[in-house]
Amino acid sequence: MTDNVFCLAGCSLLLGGKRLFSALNLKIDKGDFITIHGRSGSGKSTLIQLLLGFLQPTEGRVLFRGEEYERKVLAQLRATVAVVFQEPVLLAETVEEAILQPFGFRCNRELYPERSDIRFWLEKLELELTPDTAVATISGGEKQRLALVRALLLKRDILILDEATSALDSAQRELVFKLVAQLSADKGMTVISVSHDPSWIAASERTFEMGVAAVREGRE
Amino acid sequence: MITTDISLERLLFFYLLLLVPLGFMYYLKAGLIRKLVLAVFRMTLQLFLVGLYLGHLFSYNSIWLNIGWIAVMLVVASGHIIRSAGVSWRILVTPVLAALTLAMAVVLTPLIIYAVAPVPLYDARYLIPMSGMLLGNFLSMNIISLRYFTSELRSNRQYLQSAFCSGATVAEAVRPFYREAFVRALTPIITTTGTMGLISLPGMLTGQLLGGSLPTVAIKYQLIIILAIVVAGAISVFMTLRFILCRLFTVYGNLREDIFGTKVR
Repeated sequence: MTDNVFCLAGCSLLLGGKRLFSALNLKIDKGDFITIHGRSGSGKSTLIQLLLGFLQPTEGRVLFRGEEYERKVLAQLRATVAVVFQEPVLLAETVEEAILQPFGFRCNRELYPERSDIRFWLEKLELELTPDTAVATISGGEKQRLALVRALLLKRDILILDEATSALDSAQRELVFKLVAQLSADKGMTVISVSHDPSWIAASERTFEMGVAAVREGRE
Repeated sequence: MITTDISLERLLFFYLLLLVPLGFMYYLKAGLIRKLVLAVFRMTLQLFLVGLYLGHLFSYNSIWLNIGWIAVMLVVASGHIIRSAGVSWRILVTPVLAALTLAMAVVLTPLIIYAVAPVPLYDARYLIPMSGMLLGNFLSMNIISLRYFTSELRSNRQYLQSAFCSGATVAEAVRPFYREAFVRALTPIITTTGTMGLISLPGMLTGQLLGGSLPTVAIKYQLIIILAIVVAGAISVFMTLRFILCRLFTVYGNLREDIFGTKVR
């Protein structure tokens, strides 16, 4: 099986009459830790939408593990990724409900986490929340970290963070960075992040600047 | 016992009472005057025509004519539900019509064949009013659920994407909105059922009493029709939401923008 996870070849995208990018090429391999950055409106989150199959390129091809996106491949992709968005919508009364929500889906039932696992990740991300804490009372930063806990409990091969640390302070961002970098290095998790944070970008193994379309590699 | 007729003059006199709400609407500049006048005009015309039509329907008492009439009511009800919910008729009419037909068939069959058992079974005097009562009631339930469901899906795209990216199927991803739409649709009829007889004398009971039936008979009919409304309403709401799911999303898991085709009335 190919080590290549995502491949964008000559992708162009027109949305609402606006060209967001053209002739974009990007390869993301298993175990990569890549950060996508660029000015506001340059199409960073749109690129994530393209990778997740919610958008299709106007020109060019997007491949997941060497295959074109169609129903079966999409199902495989979405059972392989965990995504944390900038403003997670939790639709739950309590922290426990929010965390356990995706484990109610048939494909995740076997992954139903132990309470000790939940506690482990909550502590790891310095979240002082109990299972009964009302979601309505937690801050934006706590919501982002809670969504990250949920994503990590899914034990997926690919983690996508779409500006998922925007509401965190620099110490918390560093904590998250170290954690996902370690998961990428130790467990071969592919991490794709979108970030504006200069220190996050500088510390990333690979970066991809939207609008410039050049991948900078080899920085640790 | 023969029901006392209402003379045309007395009926027209009753229309004058509408001046009271029209006065309030004028005073509040509520923008409802035209709507109310039009609604009353439509109701008068429709009921007059239905009265004429029902006269013929009852005298012919043909099974095919009765079924045809119920089919027309189902199509009109589906269209009305879709238009009132502000979604695309073209895309959703088939699943909505299928759900209403299923609900109607599941409840009307035992209601007519076993519970009431008129002779003949397709007797228009029983079949047509009972179908009308069922449809009239689950019309509002389906408008509430469909409008809520589609608008919530539209404003929770990120939640849906997040659910799809956690491996959810369409049915799993929409479940929180499905559940709430179902609850909202069924709550009014459950509340009405719980207070029936105490603070309201429903239409079927009143109609039977005015028609000269014994109160004990009228109550049995009322009980049966309310049970039928609850059951058929629940089936129609549940199945409508279930049947439309396959039309709401693209193969890529995006909510189709073209389902929001018409303006909400």
